[in-house]
Amino acid sequence: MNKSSAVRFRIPRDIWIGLLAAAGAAYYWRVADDIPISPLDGAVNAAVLPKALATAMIVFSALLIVRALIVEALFVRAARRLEAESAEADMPARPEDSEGKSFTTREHFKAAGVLLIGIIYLLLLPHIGYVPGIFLLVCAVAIYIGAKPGLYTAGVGLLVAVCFYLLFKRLLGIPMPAGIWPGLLG
Amino acid sequence: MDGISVAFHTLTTTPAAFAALGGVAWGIVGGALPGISPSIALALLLPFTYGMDPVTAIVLLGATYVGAEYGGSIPAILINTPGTNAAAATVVDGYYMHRQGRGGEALGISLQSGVIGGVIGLIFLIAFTKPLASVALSFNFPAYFALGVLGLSVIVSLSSGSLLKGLMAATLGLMVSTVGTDPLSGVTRFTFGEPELLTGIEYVIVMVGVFAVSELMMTANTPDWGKVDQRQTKIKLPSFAKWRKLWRAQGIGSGVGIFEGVMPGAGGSIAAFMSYNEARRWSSEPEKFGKGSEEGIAAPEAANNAVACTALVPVLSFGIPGSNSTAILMGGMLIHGLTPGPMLFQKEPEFVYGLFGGLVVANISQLFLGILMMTPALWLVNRPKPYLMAAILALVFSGIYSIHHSTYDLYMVLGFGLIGYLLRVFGFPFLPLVLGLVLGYLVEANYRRSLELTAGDHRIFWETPISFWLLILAAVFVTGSAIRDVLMTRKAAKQVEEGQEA
Repeated sequence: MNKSSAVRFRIPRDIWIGLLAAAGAAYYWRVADDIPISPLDGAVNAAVLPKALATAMIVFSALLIVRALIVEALFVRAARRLEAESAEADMPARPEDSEGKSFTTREHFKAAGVLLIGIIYLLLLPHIGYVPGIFLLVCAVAIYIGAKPGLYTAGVGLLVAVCFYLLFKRLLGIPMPAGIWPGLLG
Repeated sequence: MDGISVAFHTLTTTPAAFAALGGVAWGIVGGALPGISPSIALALLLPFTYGMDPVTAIVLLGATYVGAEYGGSIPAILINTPGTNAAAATVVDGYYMHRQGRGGEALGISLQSGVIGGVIGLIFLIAFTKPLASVALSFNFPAYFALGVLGLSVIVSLSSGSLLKGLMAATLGLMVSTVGTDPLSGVTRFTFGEPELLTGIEYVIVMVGVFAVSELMMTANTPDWGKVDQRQTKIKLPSFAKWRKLWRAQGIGSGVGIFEGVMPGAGGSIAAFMSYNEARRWSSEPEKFGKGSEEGIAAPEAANNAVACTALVPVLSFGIPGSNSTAILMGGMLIHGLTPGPMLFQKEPEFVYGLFGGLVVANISQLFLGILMMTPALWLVNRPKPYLMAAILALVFSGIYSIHHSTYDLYMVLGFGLIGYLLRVFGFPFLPLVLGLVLGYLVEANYRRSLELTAGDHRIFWETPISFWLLILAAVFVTGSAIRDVLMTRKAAKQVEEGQEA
């Protein structure tokens, strides 16, 4: 009876990346196709380079997918041969794992949380104004990354908000969002 | 002589000299913070440069790059954590010396070597940029197009990670550069009806998002760095007798730094490690390397500061940046309406010589600012990471908002932060993306103008000798890199077959 191998063909991450990039490039091509022809256009119009870029991206994506499949196939073949020779041999790491960072799903969510706080800040900013917004942003991000909630964190948030207000609003004269406060205070 | 008087005039009539001092100070502080690379320190400053005159703005950015290269050695020596990638070679002997109670000496050697490397690199920059630029004066439209393609090919080939991912990142950068109103025909492209996109996507938004916001996302998962015992941090500059022992290592470091600085894609990290190895090879005490060797600090620090100056050579003479930091610096020039390249010397001599003057001030002032900024830099390094990261995000939002007073830009910076994060996670190099962005206009405009001359006939690119050879060179780089990728894949498969870890 044949013993089934523990080493199975896995769809490598680069295939998903390649598919996503190809889909994005196809959409980019479609939008490029809608670029109007201008009377000022000469021999080459404004859509030519975008279309060439979309084509290049699709070709590179396809090559990335092919490369990922070849690498995985080579790995599976070699690992199965190794497994057949010695059942106790340690399985080597898949080659693609050495590229990029290996984060767990929880870590990805933690990183995405920084973006989420940023989006919430941007939604609130027009209403609460610059100084309270920066105060809340600093406190929220600091606590999210690991600071203890409390007076110290609030103090840091307040200090940063006041310093930035003095720098951007007073010194550089940037019209930062005032929020609802001027209306409320008359 | 004219150049010197122009530089002197610029420094005395604009705030460029103060910008040089401010840039070095910010660079030292930024470089000292682990996770804030020179490119992030530069990207964070970009929004502040909008209201400045071009010379002041670019001197500020150039000086920041200079300061950050020294700043990176501070945590490398004191907490065994390089503040910048280029300072990684300094960790080896710097931290060893610190553990021996010689941290102040190590900091002094690092500072003095950095200044020497920077000054030597600057002399090279001033001496060779103009002659190289005059070579590039013979370039026409097809040659410029080919130069842009060559710049992208070299960076893609030499960047970390696989060739295909580098090519995809460069294509993405070029795609981003096509957003907005086409400068040649006036039609709008990829604006989706959003008026904010009519003028295109600001370089600063992409750079801050990709470098700074993605770094903040990455650091959400990393523990706080170590803290400095401030009792051992008084800088002790080397005596003349000690300097005589170090000059060879500093010379090697400066030489390697000059060479690596002008090579696209090499940068400070490679220069630092190469110079460390060369200094050990030529040292009379090679056995001390790795055990607190003073030459082991002098060589890499001289190298990475020399790189900070000579990396500007390809930017100023050809308009092709070779590293993240110089790509941001070039972005700063483009923001101010300056087109880097050979015509810069013809059209904007005040700018070029003013920049050189500003860099002279920056490199020399580094010697005393390095001592002066030690206390605030250490104070910041010793703050808990969550507060620093939160303050940096607040700075990012405030800085980007100040450009157009629009929250639309802030959403975009978060979007590019997400793209930067995905690029990091999936192992795509950043530099091709940034280079594609800043070279996008050069490549497209010269491609189209070339074809205008021939009514769409592509033969112009190989019938023009400079363009032909540049494109051949680009093909050689890409083909060489593709062969390297294939060989590495086969080697990995072979290692698996032999039972080794791939």
